[in-house]
Amino acid sequence: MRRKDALGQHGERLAAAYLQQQGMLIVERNWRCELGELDVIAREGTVLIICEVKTRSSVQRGHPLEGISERKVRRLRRLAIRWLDERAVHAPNIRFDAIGVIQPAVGPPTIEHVRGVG
Amino acid sequence: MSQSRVWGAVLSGVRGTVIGVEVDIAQGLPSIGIIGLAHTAVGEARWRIRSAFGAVGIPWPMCRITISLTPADLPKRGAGLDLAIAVGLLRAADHVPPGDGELFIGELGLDGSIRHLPGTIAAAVAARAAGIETVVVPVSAAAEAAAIPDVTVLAVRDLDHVRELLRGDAPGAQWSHEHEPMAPPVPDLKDVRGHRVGRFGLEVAAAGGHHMSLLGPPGVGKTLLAERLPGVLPDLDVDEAIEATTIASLAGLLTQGSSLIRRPPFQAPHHSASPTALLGTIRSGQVLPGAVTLAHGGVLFLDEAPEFARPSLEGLRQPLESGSLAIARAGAVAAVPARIQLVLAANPCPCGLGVDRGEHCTCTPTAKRRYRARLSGPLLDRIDVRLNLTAPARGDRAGECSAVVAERVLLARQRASQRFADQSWSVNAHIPTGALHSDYVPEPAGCDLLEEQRTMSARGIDRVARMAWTLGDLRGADRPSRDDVSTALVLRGGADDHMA
Repeated sequence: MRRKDALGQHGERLAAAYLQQQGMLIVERNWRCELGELDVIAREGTVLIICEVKTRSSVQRGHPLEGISERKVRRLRRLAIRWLDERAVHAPNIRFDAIGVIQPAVGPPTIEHVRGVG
Repeated sequence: MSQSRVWGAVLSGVRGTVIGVEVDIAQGLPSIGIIGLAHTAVGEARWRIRSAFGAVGIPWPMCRITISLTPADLPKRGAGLDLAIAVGLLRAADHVPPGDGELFIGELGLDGSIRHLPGTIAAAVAARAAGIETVVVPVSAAAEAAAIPDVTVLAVRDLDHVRELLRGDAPGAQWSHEHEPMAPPVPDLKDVRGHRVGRFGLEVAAAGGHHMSLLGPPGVGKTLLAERLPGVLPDLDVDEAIEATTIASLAGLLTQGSSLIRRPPFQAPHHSASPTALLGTIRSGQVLPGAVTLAHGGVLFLDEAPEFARPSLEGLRQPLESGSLAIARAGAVAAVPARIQLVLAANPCPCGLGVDRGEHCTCTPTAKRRYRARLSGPLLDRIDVRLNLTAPARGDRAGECSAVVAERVLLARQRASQRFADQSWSVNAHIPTGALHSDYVPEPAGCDLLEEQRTMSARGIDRVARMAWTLGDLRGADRPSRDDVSTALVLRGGADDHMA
C-alpha cells in the first residue's frame, strides 16, 4: 500500500509541475472531504480546472487514463461543487481534466493530458 | 485524431445490407462506444478488436472512440462487422491510408485471426448492388464471395495482413470469378427400368415447371423417379444460383472453398419433419432456412405425403402460390425465397396394397378415406402432373439416360422462355390465369376439347391448358394441338380417382 501511495503522490507532483509548465496556476492540491479527494485544482485565465491524476508504473494493466471511469468523473463533479462551496470561489467556467502519468521503475515519465473529460 | 468511414455488411433475412461504419477518434478519456442499433454481438466487437490490436502489436488509440453504424435505424446483429470496424479504427488512427472503396466482412478472433461467417456471398451481392467493387473477406470465404461476377475479392488471413494490404505492403490473395460448376453426382434416369408413363410425366413436369404427384404401392419406384427430376432440370441462372448459394451458406451447408451452386437443389424431408424444419425459422435474428427454402430453385420431394403433419402441408400453400415465404417470429419477420417444384408421393392407402382391385388391402374404407383427406384439396389442386405408377413388367428395359431427356427439357424451356420474353414468368406452369385465357389459348380443336370437360373445375381446366403448352413445347410446336390437350388431360386425371 505504501509504495502505491508514494507512486500516486509522485505522479501528482509531476502533473502539477506539468500544468504549471503549461502556464496554469495551481490553486490547491489534495483537497479532501468525506466524499473523496480532488488531486489538483488549477486556473487557466478565467477557467477553473479540476484535474484528476492517475499514475501507473507500466501499461501492463492498461493505460492510467483507462483507470478513470465514468463513475469517477461523475464523482469529480460532486466534489467540485463541494469545493466551490467550501472555498466560496466564484468560477464562471469550470473544466474537468485528466492526466495520466506512466512512471516506469527506470527512465523518464510520460505524461498525457486530456482536457475536458466530463 | 480523425474520422473515417468504411463499408461492412449485415444479413437481413437472406439478403445482405451494406452498412456504413463511421469511426471518430477524439480527445477525451479512453472509451469506445458503438451506436446505431447494435445488438449484443456487435457491441462485443470492442473487446474482440481491442484484443486483436494487442495481439498483432497495433497501438490502441487512448482516446474517446465513437463508432456509428448507418443506417442508424436498422438493427444490426452478428460479428460480421468486426473487420469493418477494425479497419475504420486503423484508418481513423492513421495506421493505414484513407479510402472507402472496399467492403469488409469477417469476424475477428482475439488473436487477430479473421473468421468467416455464414452468408458472406449475400454481403458480396449487396456490395455489387451498392457499386462497391472490392470485397475483403477471410480466406475461407473467398471462393464463396468470388462466385459473384464483377466483384474483386481480396482474401486476408489476419488483422496484420489487412494492415499490410491497406498500406500496400502486401497483396491480398486475389480470387477471380470462376464458373466451374459444382456438380455433385445425381441419380440418372438410365437406372430406371420401364415406367414409360412415369418417365414421360417427369419430362413434362421438368419442361413446364409443373408440380407432380406419384401414386403407387410401396417399392414401385416413386422415390426412384422423383430423385431423378433435378437431373433433367436445366442449370440455375446466375440470380437463382446466387440465391441458392446464399441459402446454403446460411444453413451452413456450403463446404469451405466451394463456389456457386449451379444445379437445382433436391430436398426430401422425412414425413416426421416439423413445420419449423419444413418452413424454416428465425433464431437470434438469423434466418434458419427450412426444407422449402433449401429447395429454392429446385425440387421439394415429400415421400409418404399424407403422413406429413397437417400444419406442415398447409404451410406449403404460400410458397407454392408466391414463390416466397414469410417467416414471422417474435420481433423478427423475414421474407425468404421458396420457389419450388413440388413432388408428392403417396401410397394408395395406409397399408399400401390397395392397388387395382385391392384384394390384399387390409384397410377399412374409413381409414382409406381419412388417409386421402390428409392431402387437402387446395394443395392437391396445385398439382398438375398426377401419375399412377405400376410395377415394371419383367421384360421392361432401361430407358434413356438423364442427359438425353435434359436436352429435350432444355429445348422446351428455351421455347417457352422465348415466348415469355416480355413477361414476368418463364415457364408454362406460371402462366397467370388471365393471360392463359387471352394470349395463350390452344388451337381451336384443343379449346373445344377443353370445353367438353364438364366435370372438371375451372382451375383444373387451366392447369390442363398450361400442361398442353408444355407438351407443345416438347414437340416443337407453336401452339398446343387437340392431341396435346388430350395428353394433358390424361396426365392431370391420373390420380383423380384415387386422391381427389
